[in-house]
Amino acid sequence: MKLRRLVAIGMTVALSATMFSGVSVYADNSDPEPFKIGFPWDTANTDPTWISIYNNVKASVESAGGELVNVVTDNSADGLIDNISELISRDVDGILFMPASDSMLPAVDAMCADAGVYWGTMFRTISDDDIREAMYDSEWYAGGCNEDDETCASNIVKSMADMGVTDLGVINIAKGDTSSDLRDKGAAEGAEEAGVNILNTTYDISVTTDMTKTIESYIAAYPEMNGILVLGTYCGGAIPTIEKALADHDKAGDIKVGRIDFETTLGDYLKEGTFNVSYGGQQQIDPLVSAVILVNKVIGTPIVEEGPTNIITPYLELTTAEEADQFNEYFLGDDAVYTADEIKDKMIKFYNPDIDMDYMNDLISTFSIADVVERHSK
Amino acid sequence: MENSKVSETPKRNIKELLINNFAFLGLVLVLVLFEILTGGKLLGQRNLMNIFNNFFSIALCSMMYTFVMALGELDLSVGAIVGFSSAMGAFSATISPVLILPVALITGLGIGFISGFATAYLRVESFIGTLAVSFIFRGLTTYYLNGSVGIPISMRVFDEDWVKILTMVIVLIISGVLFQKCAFGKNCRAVGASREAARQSGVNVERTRMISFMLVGLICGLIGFFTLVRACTASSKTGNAFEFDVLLAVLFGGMPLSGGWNVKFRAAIIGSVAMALLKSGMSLVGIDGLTQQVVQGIILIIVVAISFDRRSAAVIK
Repeated sequence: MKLRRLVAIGMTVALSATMFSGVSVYADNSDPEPFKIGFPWDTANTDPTWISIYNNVKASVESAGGELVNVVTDNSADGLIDNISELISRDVDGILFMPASDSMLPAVDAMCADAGVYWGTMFRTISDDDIREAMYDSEWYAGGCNEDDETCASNIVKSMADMGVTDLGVINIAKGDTSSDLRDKGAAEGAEEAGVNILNTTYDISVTTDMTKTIESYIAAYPEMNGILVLGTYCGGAIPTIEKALADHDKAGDIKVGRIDFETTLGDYLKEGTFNVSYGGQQQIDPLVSAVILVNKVIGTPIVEEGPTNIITPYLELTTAEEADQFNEYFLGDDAVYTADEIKDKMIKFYNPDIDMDYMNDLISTFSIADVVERHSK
Repeated sequence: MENSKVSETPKRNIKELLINNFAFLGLVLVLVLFEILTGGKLLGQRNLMNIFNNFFSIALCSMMYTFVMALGELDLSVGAIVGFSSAMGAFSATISPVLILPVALITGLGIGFISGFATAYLRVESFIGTLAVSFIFRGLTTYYLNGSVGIPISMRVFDEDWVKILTMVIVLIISGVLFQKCAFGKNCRAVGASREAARQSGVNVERTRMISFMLVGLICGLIGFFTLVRACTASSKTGNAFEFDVLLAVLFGGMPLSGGWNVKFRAAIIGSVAMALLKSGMSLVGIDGLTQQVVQGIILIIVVAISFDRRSAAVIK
């Protein structure tokens, strides 16, 4: 009897305290606990694609009420390790980054495990079998997105072959980068299948002057070259630079140009007929979904209960000026490809318990330029 | 007339005092400013080790860089040496992880020897010679690494704070004593002040210049080791733009580009601390990368304008 009375008094006091503090039981469950996601990204880069990547990650984090903490990075392995150390010291709950190599991941996992911080990756898969196995066993690795780089590279080479390209000069990001290696492999496979001769590949061009020199060298060394393919580059304004070099040598339009990863100027050159094909669009959806995977893990509602969540995002094909204009307006504007409200409704499991891998894969499969235009056109 | 001289003297003294200590004042300013802007987070317990990590590599290199700066020379190959030493260290780990440190140190020393030989004996301007060495070893790093090479995660034991603090103290004592108390440090400053006068005084100018570059190479080998054990991977980007971080730090510390007797060892420490505080402070405040570059550029111009030794410039002319 005495015990029952004590419990009743205790419950009354607790209820009153909750009412007077203004925090309802409903409010506790309606939103996740506040959280912080660390994001090493080069905010000094004014390339619209790089800015859009930041905007898409921000939208994902803010969709669940989180705060995005940015540190400036050079995206090198040692630079990223320093960035991760700094973010850990700033009390973040999760860290999202673009790995420079597979071999840096065990160090990242060790640091995050020591600090009790979840981490996720974007744009990159883990190619090394031993490292992948070890990372997939880690409770701190949330997962991430990547693209089928190999298939994409193979397909774009075949597309160019269909346009009549037989001898191809190639530009790619630094060797050792997982995407670079896979795109190289895919391009070689596509070339073999389509009977295209890859004349040369130049890696790690980061400034326009080097891009110009490379194209001029290709033109001088390979008179038979009738195609240039940019498999990847961190050089801002790569396509205008290539087009200028080709125009200077009266080759614009004669040499077909293709690239993986969209950029803002493609529409102009597609109109002029001096640029021919691009596969991309993943640069917005990949970081957005990668951040979603990490956010879901951090707030305690992981998309996959056991192990990391890995989603392969599709490449979109761009062959017309109209598509290029739509891409510029809807992918590279201030808005993310899914707004924070759309992400909250469709991708955060805390608000939508139906979310699982199949649901996410179905959602991603409907993603296209037309889909974004339809959702965001005013 | 007498009165005006008397009133000008304290003014001049204050001006000289400010100019002579502008680096230290700059450091205090950066510290106070960002401590206020970050609401006390800058010097918070968790951020201190972060600042130390920013400071560690730059300070190690800056201390040995003092010898080269005292000569009135520049070494633009430090980033490439860190990258190549790190790569060689990573390769040696495939034989045995025990080899990482000695291989990185020997590699750094060897490249320092090449830079020193080119500058001292082949009479190549240090600016050009070390730039060429930088290109060579950046190219070799990319060629040999063919991407990146990892080392066993167990090597992260050398990334412990106490190991780095101990290393810092040892390097600080050795380089400080060598520069301030030993004949070698004085010889470097004498050569920087006037190469011919130093030669006439019996200083072996070529050997002094050569050893200075070798010391920088050796410390870059050590930095390559610590960079490697921190990330457990060596990549073609390791040490990228490190030469600019070091140069910015020593200049921020008030080290004159003209070399000679005005070069102070404390400039390396003050500059490195100020750089680490500045970077951490700007990051904590949430300043974007573009603005950070602008701020660093403005500071560099102001510092060089103040520290430039105009009297020496007049003599050179």
